[in-house]
Amino acid sequence: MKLLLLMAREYRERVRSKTFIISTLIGLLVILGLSFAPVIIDKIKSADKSYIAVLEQTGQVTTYLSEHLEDKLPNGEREFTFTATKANNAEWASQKKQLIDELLTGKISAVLEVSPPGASDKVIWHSKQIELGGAAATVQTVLQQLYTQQRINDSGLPQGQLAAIFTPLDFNVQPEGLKATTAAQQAQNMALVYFLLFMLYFSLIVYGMYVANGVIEEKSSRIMEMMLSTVKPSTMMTAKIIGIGAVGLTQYFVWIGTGIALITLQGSDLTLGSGVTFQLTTLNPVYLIFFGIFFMLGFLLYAAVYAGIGAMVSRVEDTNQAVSPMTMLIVVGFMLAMFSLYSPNNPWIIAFSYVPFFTPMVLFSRIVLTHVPPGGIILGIVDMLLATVILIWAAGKLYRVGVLMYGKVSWRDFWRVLRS
Amino acid sequence: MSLKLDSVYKSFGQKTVVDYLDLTIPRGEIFGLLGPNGAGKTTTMRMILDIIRPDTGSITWLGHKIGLDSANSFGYLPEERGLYPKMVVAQQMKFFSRLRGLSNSEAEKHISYWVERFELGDLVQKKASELSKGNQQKVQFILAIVHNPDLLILDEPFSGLDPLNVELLKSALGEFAQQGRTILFSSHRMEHVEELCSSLCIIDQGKIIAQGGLTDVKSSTGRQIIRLSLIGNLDFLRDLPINPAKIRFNHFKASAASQAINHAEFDLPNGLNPQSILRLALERGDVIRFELGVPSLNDVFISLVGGDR
Repeated sequence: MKLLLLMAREYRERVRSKTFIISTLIGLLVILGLSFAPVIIDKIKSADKSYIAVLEQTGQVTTYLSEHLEDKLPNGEREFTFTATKANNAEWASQKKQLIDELLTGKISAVLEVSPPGASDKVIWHSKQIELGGAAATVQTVLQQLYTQQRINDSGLPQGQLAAIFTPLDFNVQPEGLKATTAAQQAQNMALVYFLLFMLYFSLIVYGMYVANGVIEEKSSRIMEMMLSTVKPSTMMTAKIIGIGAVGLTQYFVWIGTGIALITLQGSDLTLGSGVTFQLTTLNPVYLIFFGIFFMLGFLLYAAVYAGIGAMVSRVEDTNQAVSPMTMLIVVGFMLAMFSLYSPNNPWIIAFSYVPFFTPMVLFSRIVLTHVPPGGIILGIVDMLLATVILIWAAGKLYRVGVLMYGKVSWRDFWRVLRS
Repeated sequence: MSLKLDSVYKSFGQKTVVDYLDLTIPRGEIFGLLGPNGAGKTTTMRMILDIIRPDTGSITWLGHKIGLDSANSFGYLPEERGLYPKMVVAQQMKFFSRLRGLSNSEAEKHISYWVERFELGDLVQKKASELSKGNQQKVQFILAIVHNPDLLILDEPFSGLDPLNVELLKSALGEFAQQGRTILFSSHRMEHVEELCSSLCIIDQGKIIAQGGLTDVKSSTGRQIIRLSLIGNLDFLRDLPINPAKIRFNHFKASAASQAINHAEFDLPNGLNPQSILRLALERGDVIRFELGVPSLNDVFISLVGGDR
């Protein structure tokens, strides 16, 4: 009864607070931004039309390029438009100068100089915009084909054999020992894990700090005495942790719910960067359930420690310093999990995924990306539960003694309280 | 017999804070717990409320060991304000009353009664941090009594209150005592203690140095005090065998037309007849006041606590 009252207060006050409302809104904006990002990126890309002037002797190259480089912009228009400027050796220099002038004034995007006088194999790409793998590279690839083909033709090989030579290799990527059956699915799973890990990381730090700050606030405003005359310290601590955890879950429901609703409404896949699309239909709900489990377990584990530390601190200014070891631990866990994205079956990663402080992030990542046997999942959850119980017991002890201790507290005091 | 402390001992590290304290507070009594700063008053109160546990000894209320079960029949006003700074006062009051076991409707009824009685009005719609210190103290007091506790423990209840609010508080306390509730309070303002308490104890360094009814404690020093007010010169007192340093004089200039009234207060020396002092005074002028009595609680406190320093 008292626990419920305390939890309700904790939850209500926090959900009504400006911090909560603003951070939820910012999160929503980010989600909205993400879901509209493909449309926005398309708009920006569509402005990238390239007008390329080809300076050549015959006009054959321009025709070949126009036929073979039909890349389309997202709005359906051709990305590359080639116009031929024919010139013989005598006119070459003056024509080139004129085209470069046009390029510099911005009328055209690039000048492609093919086989200038005295160098039949040479191609020069003039551009104000030098980029890796940009238009220059695309044009180069196509031109290379043209030149290779011509050279083979010159060698006198029949067309049939030519086609056989150019048949591309059927190269396939087949994931083994991973959850995904195709490379694309693996990329999608990695994107999902990346996104959820980031949320887990962010929320463990933010909500952990909420717990520590909440305890210190009650200490510094001397509410503790009022409370302790009615409730047990352990009840206070439990209420605070569960109340704040519920606040975190509320925020997630709002965010994830909005995200799913938006994807459904748009009826299309969410593109997260090149080649990685996020399809609602292939999203396994089991992963979200595991996310929920690991969020709750991780939150309980870290929140207990944050509460214990908070109970030993009496000034709000000292909070950051006191909780920094915990924050470091979360950062390390996050980095291990990032590493596990690329090699979920690394023996070190497997070992670390059973260290309670890292389990919520690393084991979760492995569950989505690779085959973790049921025993492994159970082991992870059980060792986290055990660690959480031990830590809650320790935090409760610190809480009981610490909340009425004012003044500077050293690490040695922590140890003394825990042993007593 | 209702609240009983039986050889309660508490130390923090090397420091003994409460030193085998025995205390019995009968039901329906307003009991003053006095002592200098650091004497162990707050620690004693916290132990009665089971916020901290004594190292040895026991504390019982109505014969039962105190604990969270008895908490709902206790009310507590801590020395320092303990309110959620950013929470609206009205919600805060409701929250704490519910925590003390009141139902929603009971809580609302009791709160509105006390809010009106303490003239808080619309202030309860504000956040606690926006209230003045005195108003916060009134809120804190309401939180202590909202559930009609049988035992009310008040740590420095009058601090920060103006005289009008002190009166409001005193009348509420008197009412509580009449209803048979027990009140234990600490204060450094001896006049409040004298006015309110029927019995009291003075502790110093965790030990009781005086205990009993108000008059018993006041006469416990064996000293007799003479308070004399005279229209005329008090210099004759200097010729009597009284330690001049112990005489406290007060000179008041009355209106220009009349003569000045002089006051003196001093310990009656052994073997000196108070009547002879009165006769001497009458020879010097009109005696406005001549009183033979026990020292004030303030004096007793100073001589008891200051004596061993």
